[in-house]
Amino acid sequence: MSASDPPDDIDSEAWEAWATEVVDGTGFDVELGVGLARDAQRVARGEMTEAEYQDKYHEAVLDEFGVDDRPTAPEPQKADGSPLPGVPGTGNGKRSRRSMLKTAGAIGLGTLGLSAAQQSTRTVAAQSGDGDSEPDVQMGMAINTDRCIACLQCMDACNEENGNPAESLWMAVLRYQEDDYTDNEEFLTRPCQHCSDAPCETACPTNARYTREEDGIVLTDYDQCTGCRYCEVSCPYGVNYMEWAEPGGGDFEADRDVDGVTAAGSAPQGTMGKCTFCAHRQVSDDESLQGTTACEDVCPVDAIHFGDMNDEESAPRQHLANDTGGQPTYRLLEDKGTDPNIVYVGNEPSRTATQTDGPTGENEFDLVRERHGRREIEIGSHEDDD
Amino acid sequence: MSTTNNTILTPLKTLSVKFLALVVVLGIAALVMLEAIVHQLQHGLAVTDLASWGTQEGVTWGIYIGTFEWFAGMAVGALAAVGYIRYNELTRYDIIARIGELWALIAGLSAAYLIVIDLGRPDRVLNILTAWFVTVQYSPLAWDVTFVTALLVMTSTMLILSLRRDFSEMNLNKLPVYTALIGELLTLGFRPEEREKLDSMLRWLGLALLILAFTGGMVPGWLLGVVGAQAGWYGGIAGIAFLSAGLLSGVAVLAITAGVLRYLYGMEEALPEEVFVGLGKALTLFGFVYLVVQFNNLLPSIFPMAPLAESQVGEAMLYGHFATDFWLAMAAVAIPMLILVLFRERMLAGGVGLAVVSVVMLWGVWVKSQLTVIEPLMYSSGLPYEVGTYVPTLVEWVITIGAILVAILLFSIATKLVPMGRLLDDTASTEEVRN
Repeated sequence: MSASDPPDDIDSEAWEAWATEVVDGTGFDVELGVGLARDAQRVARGEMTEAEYQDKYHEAVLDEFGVDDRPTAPEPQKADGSPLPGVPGTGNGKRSRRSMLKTAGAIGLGTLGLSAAQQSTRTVAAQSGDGDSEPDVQMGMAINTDRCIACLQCMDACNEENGNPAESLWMAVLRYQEDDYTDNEEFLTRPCQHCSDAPCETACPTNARYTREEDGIVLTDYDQCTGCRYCEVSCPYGVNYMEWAEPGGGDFEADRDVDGVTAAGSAPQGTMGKCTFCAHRQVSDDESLQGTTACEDVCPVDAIHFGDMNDEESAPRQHLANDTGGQPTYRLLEDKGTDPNIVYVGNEPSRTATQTDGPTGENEFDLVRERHGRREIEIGSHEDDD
Repeated sequence: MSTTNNTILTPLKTLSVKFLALVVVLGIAALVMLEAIVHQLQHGLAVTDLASWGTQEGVTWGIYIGTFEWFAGMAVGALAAVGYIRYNELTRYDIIARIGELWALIAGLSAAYLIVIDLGRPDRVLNILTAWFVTVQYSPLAWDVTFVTALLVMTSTMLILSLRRDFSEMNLNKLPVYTALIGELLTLGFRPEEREKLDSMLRWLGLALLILAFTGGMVPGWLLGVVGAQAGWYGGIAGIAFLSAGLLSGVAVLAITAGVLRYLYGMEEALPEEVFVGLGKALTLFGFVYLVVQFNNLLPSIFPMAPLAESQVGEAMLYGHFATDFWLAMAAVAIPMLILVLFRERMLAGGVGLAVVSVVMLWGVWVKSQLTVIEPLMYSSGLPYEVGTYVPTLVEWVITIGAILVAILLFSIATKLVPMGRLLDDTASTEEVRN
């Protein structure tokens, strides 16, 4: 029987013989390979869920290959419809059937055996310690920019909480105007978008940028980051802040450790920092801190709502369901395909919007735009350049 | 094969005051650069003018990365030239192949070195290698590390094998003692019967280098071309644009070196005019292709149907903030190209004219490399951020120019250590040497 011509009935002996012949050539466990292939067909036909498929073979795949690198495996890197098997980034449980089959095919071909030779220690650690993880949690925010008054308290609270220097604006409130003959000033509250398909993770050459399995937060392993800044280049939102010098900010008092990875609080010199959704609060023993962020706590107009975007009862989902006041909702630069987990309520800034001058906090708070040692920034450079 | 080209050994056998002065000057430059590096290590990248794009209104990659792209391109171009010469066994261009082997290696090392300089934590550069097995599946930076490594390994192999052949044809006793030592080492266990095999290996390795240059050689371009976030980078032509710049700068550096060697050491016989005519033709072609590709890359962005972000980048380049730099860079390639077309035979007589136009072209490609890297970061699109600014600091200039001078220093030293080609002289034939 030709190996390129599988019988249709996956329960038939002919199919079994065909599959055995194919898998036998790879040198890997035949029984496991045939089982994976058969059940992958069942998943494709909708007779089995991806989660069942994952659970059924997790142990066996680990035994055979040393790691379970499939997109469904409980580890920070998830495939999400990306055409490349093993590509990181995607949001919990949103994988396409096609990519899963592709990856299953890749296992059959033994590519896993190659990539299994090495895995970052972080990934392995995360894998072994997450038996009771809930991969369906995806933390995110609903931010009502219609309510924002640009008081900048969120920016100040963020830097205070994380011990950031004045120039590292993990949370930034942008003031802008549309070219529409009105002088209306609008605000964009801009933390990291914690994308489900984060380009920064794909860019990272050291696996330092990763999605936390438990709640979908995108973090940086400060011990792994080399400071190459490819993540910053690949991010369409401009949320990454390199620590160019020894951070001269305040102290970060909480524990930097997130599941054994140094990822909370301000970034050390030479590494890349960005909003962590206050990861130290999410892993805190103090339950009153879990599910909160500093920016949300301090917002005087209740514009920021942080919580599990997959939970209908969560603060952001409740806000989106009940409190939008008829305002439109949108995700920032959705056409970039990053699948961001922040949903905005209000008007989306157009591509021609220009920034307007306004307090950046230096009067009231210890916040600046310009990087320490560089000249002062003037607003209006876009117009000058025309 | 009866022509004598004994002069290829002249650089090895002479040690002029001028050369020593050059080494001293370049050595001082290297020390100044070292001081700048120590300064940067002490204070971090804060001593540069780099800043985050976005609210900090800077560019996060600057002349280190721009010069990296330039060096990487030069390595690819030199690699392609070596591959072409070795595969086609163009004996007359043998010296050019040796110069190319050395330059591909030196330019590749310089590129890798600038990447390390640009890291916020250079002490962790090995993290890129330990994570490679996973990241190579998706991170273009991991692909780049793969390509540069392949380039260094294959170029070194080519250099070692071709030197083994060349040394086997020479009387080592007539060479300076350190060169003779290198020769002894590289011809260890050499048997005359292996000559045929060695010739064949050099030929096929040449083909492999050509294939590497025209496939993996595009990776440093893809490094930018796959980034969807920055207008002006994303697109299918990035790899081609990088390769076309590489071929031009690679051949230009070979032409400069050949012209200078011929002028300094009177190597008229070893480097006949035909070689310069050939190099001039290659430069004309690659210069033309470079300009066509660059304008193909840019012009669509200024048509009214182009996306806004793309047009901002294109307009800044063609008639905005960067117009002076851009048009100077284009002129620096176009004018030498036209001069080559019009006056080729006359100005190539001594190789010096070709070296001069090559320097101008190299400078043009360098400037455009900087613009390619800096501009999209400065004109960020999407959110209402300001246009960024970037003026490299003294430290950045010292380290960047230092890297170029150190590359020249390394090549200068290499000319005193290894022969620039094979000896085609009857009086020093293999038989005589070996008996």
